[in-house]
Amino acid sequence: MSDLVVVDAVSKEYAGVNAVTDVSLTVAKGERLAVIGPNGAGKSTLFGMIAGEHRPTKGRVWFAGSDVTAWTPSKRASAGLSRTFQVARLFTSMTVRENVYMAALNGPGGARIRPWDNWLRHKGVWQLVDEVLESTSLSPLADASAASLAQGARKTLEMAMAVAQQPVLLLLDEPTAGMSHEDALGAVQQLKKLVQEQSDLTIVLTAHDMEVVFALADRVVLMAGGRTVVDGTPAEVAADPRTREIYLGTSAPKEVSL
Amino acid sequence: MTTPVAGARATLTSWHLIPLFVVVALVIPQVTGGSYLFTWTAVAIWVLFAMGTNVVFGWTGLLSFGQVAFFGIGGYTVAVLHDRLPDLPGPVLLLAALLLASTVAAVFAVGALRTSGPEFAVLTLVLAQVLWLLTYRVRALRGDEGFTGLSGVPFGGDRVLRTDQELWYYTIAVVGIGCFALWRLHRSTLGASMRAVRDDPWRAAALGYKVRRTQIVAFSVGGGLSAVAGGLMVHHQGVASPDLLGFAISGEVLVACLIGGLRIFWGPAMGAIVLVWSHDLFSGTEIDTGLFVGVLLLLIVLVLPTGLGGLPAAVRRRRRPARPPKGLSAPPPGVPDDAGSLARTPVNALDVEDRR
Amino acid sequence: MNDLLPIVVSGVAQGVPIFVVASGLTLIYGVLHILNFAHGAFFLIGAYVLATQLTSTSLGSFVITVLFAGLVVMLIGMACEFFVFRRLYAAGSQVSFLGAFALFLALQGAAQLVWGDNPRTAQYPADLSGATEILGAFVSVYDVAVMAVGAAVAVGLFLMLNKSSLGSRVRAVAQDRVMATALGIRAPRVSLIVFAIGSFLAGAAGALTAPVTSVDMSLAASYIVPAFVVVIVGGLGSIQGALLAALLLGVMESVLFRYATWMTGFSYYLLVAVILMFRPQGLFGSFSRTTQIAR
Repeated sequence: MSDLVVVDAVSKEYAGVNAVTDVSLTVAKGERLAVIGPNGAGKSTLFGMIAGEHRPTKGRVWFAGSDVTAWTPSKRASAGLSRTFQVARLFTSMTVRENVYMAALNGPGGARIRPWDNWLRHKGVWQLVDEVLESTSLSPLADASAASLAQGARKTLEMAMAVAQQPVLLLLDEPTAGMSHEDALGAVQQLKKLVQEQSDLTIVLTAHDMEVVFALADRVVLMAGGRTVVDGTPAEVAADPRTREIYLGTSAPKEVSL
Repeated sequence: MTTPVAGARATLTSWHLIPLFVVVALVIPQVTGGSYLFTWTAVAIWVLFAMGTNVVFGWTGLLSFGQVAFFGIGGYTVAVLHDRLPDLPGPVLLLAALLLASTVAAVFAVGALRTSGPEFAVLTLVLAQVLWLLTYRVRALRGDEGFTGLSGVPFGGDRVLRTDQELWYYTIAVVGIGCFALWRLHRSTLGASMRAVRDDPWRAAALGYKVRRTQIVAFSVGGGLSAVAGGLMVHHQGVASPDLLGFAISGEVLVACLIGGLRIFWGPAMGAIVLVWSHDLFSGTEIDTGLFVGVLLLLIVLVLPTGLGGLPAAVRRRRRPARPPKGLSAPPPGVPDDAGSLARTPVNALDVEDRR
Repeated sequence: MNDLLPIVVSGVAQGVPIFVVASGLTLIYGVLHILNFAHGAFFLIGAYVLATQLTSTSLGSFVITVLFAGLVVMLIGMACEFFVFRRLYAAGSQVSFLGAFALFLALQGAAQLVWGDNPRTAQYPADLSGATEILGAFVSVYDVAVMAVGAAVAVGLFLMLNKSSLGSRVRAVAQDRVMATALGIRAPRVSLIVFAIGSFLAGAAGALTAPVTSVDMSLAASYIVPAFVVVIVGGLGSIQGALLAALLLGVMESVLFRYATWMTGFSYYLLVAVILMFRPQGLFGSFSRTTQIAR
C-alpha cells in the first residue's frame, strides 16, 4: 500500500483518563502531516503511539506495511522511523559531531558495522556526518560538547541526528517549542530546505505555531478531546468554523476529566 | 573520556598498554618488597574488580549494589573446581569463573532490568545476600569452614606458583589482559552504545539502539570481570569463605569507581589504589576504614562529583572565566558544561523523570 | 488449620519490628525520593544508645530510654538532611542514594569509634518479660508490646498523613515539590520534618530491638536489607504497603521455619524477586516516576 502509516481505531487510556479515543488516520508516503490542537487534545499521546513510546489500549498501528503496535521505539527506528523530542535529547558526554555520528551509525549507512569495531573508524559514516553538519550549519560547532549548546543549537542538533538516520518517516515533536523567534524562523527554514531536498521523506509533526504548520505541512489534522475533528489542507482547516470554536472556545470541546 | 575525532593526531592505542603493564609488572617487585608486594597484589585485584564494575556503573549508568555477588561467584568457582580437580591450570579456573559469572549476570539482568533505579539497586543487593546465604546452606560450599590451601596456582605440568613474586606476576598478567580487553571495549561501537544508553536512553532507543540488550551485555561483562578478580583473590588470600560475599565489599568497589572518577577510563584503577592502601593504612588504628571511606565518598558526592580523576579539569574550570553557551544565534543562558558530573548519571538508564 | 494460626501469629510478631524500621524508610522515600541507606546506621545507633543508657529494668525507665534513643537519632537524621541531602535533591536519586550510603558508612564507623567492637546486650523491662499465649501460639510479652507499638505507629502515620494539615503539606511535597513551593508550602521545612519523623522511627525501632538481640555492628546491615525489601515489595512510599509486606514476609518466614527450615532467610529475597518480576512497582506503588521504554 502507498500508505506509510496507518493508525487504526486507536485509543489510549491512562488511569481513568481517555487521552485518545478511537482515532483513525493514514499517512501516505511523501505526505507532510501536522497534528494540531489545544493542550490536552491528545496530540502528544497519538504521536507517542506512532513513535512507540506508548502502547494503545485499543487499536493497531501500522508502519511500512508491518503491524508495529507492539514494537519498541528502537525496533521502529531500525525500520526507518526517526523522531525528535519536544525537549531535545542529546548525548551529553559526546561532541556535536559524535552525536550525529551515533545517529548515522544506526541508519542504513552503518548497516555493516559490528559491535566490536572501533567506533570512530567508519569512513562512509563520517562522510554522511559531515554532509549533515554542513546542511544544518552546525559545522562551526562540530567539536563542541553537546552539553554546552544553547537551546536553539540543541534542537538543530537533534534535527541533524534525525536526518542522519536517513529515515523513511520523520516525526517532529513540537519542532519550534521553547525557541526564540529568531531560532524558530531558522528552524523552519532548515525544515523547508529538508522538505525540498528529500521529496519522498514523510513527515508527521505536532505544533502549536500555525506559521510552522503553514510553512511545512500539506495536510493538517485538528484534534480535541482525544479525537480527530478536522482533517484537510492547512487552508481548509484554518477556515473551518470548528477550528475557531476549539481554539477560541465559543463552545467547550468534550472535556477530559482529570 | 572523550575519544578523539577520527583521522586526528596519533592516539594511544590498546597496544601501547602492553609495554606499560610489563613495566609496572617488573618495577613494582624491585621497588617494593616483602609485605608491600602482597598489598600491591591486592591492589591489582581491586583494579580489575573496579574497572569491571565501572563498565556497569560509569559506562552504562546502572547502579549495582551487588557486584560482590560476582566477586564471590568467581572466588567460589575457583575454590570448588580446584578442590575437585586439583590439576586444572589456574587460567582454566579463571575462565570457568568468568563464564559462570557472566551467564548468571546476564540471566539476572534479563529479569531484574524490568525494574529501574532504586528497585534495581536493591535487587542486586538481594542477589548478593542470597548468594551469601547459599554459602551456608549448600553443603558443597562449606559455610564458615570454607576452602583452604588455595595459595598455590597450578600452572600446567607440575608447576605450581606459590611465592609472592610468582603470584604477583600471575595476577598482574591477568589484570593486564583484562584491562586490554576493556580498552578495546571502550573504543568499540558497543562501548559507544553503552555511553549513549547512559547519557539518554530515550534518544538511544529513538536511534535504534537496543537499550535493554546493551545493559544486559554491560552487566554481564562487569560480572565476568568481577568474578575473575574474585578468583584471583582466593589465590591471594589462600582461602575462600563467606567473607568473599561481604556486604561492605559492594559498597567499597563503587566507592573506588567514584573516587577515581566514573567517566575517566583509568578512574576506577586510581580509586582502587587509594582504597586498598587506605585499608592498609588504617588497619592498625582504631579508625574503621568504613569511616574513612564514608567521609571520602561524602566529600566526593558533595564537592567533587567527577572524582579525584576529575580534579585537574575542575581546577582548570575554576581558573577560566565562565564561557557563554554555544549556539547559532545569541542564546539565552544555556546548559552548564559539566558533562562528566556524577549528577548527570541517571539512576538507571530507564529511570527518566518527566519534569513537565 | 489450627496448626496454621500459631504460625501466623508468630509471623506477625516477627514482621512488626521490620515494619517499624521500614515505615521511616518508606516515608522518607515517598516524600523526598531518597532511598535512605543511612537508615541502617540510624537503627544501629538507636540500639546502641538503649543498650548503653538503660540502667534499670523498670518499664518507665525503658520507655524513656527508647524515646531518648529516638530523639538522639532524630537529631542526627535532621543534621544529615540539612547538611547533606538538602544539597543533593537537585542532583537526582542516584546521587542521593550514594550520599546515603556514604552516611551509612561514616555513621557506622563513628559508632564503632564511640562504642567499640564488643557486642552489647540490653535487658527486657521486668514488666514485659515472660511469655503469653495468643491463639495457640506462645509469644513473648515483649513481642506483644512491640506489636502494639507497631500498630500505634501505623495508625499514627496514617492519621498524620491523611488527617492533619502537616500531612497534606507532606503529601503535596511528595507529589510535586516545585508545585508545592509555588503554592506557598515551605518544602525545606517539610523535608526536615519528614526526615525527623523517619529517623526517630528508625532510632526507636533500633532501641526496641536491642533487648531481643545482641547489639553489634552487623546489626545495621542485617536489618537494612530486609527493610529495603519490605519497602520495595510494599511499593516505595506506601505505608500500608510496607505494613502488608512486613507482615507477609514475617508470616512467610514463620511458615518456612515450620515446614522447610533450610529455606529460612530466603523468603524475603524470593518474594521480592517474584513480586518485582510481575509488578515492578511493588504492591501499592505507582508508575508515576519511571516509564519503561524498552520491553
